[in-house]
Amino acid sequence: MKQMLRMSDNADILELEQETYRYSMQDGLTEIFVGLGLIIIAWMIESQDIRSYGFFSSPVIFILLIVFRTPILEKLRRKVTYPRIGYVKVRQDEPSQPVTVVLLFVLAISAVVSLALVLIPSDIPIYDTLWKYFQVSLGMLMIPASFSLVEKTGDRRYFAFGLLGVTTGLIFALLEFEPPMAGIVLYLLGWGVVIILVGLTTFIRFIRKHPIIEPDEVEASEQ
Amino acid sequence: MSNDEDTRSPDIDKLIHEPARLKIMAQLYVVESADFIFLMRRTQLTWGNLSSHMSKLETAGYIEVEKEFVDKKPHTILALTKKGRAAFQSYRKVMQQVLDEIPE
Repeated sequence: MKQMLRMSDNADILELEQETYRYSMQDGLTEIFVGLGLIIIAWMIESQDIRSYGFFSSPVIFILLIVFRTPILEKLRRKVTYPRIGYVKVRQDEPSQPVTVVLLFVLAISAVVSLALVLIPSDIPIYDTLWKYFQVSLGMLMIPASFSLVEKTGDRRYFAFGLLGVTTGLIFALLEFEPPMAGIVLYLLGWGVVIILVGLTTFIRFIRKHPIIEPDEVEASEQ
Repeated sequence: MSNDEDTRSPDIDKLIHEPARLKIMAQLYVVESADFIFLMRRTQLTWGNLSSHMSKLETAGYIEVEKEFVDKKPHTILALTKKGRAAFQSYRKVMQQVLDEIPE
């Protein structure tokens, strides 16, 4: 009876949806791809010199990653994830109102600060200031990302991820780097490596925790 | 219509009301589609049990079953139909109504 009461409640349907999302994402593959993306962006920023190898190859690799991320992930999941925990296609809802509000708020702050940086006269070259500000902006973008993750998973620990993003962005902006863009490269590289490590650890734990289920075997053991 | 009929609780969908099928319907309600292994893991039902409940839900038109082959192995994907989604929503509404009628 208790279960039936639960299922008639909107809050519990939301809880089940969040639980299902967490269940479907427990392989750590998404984190590995996000980390890779951040490292490639760092490489793109670092490769400003037209003579460098990365000047042409890093944007190409980044575009390839964006275009082929979904089919590669799907192929990997068919091989590794689905035989262990089953296949599920979660619902892809539009971002909710609170997430959109946070995103718009962050974008509005970014726009105002950018304008102020350009308009307010200063002895510091605008180029240097903008690189520093770029780090904080990237950190701030982690706030709507963390809001969205909390909403999808129901796990409030993701707020810490947004907070850490902003804090590390601010710390990197306060430090002196030569050239100034080295700060943002290190920031992205650092986050990329951390997220990949989290993804790899999650992936190894997932493989160990969930053995492959052969449907034929289960079916046969039932008969 | 008599007064008795007016105050009577609406009918509960018996097909969904069975605990195992309720679990399956709720799980499929929150996703677009899923396969047998996923549902087995999430509902803790055995293969045989799941198959039998699936057949009943499919016969009622609440779920649709799509069979495909992946690496020469059969793979069954299940999803709620529009009718199934509507039936589950209506079931939840009815259950909520029933609960509201219970005195504090």
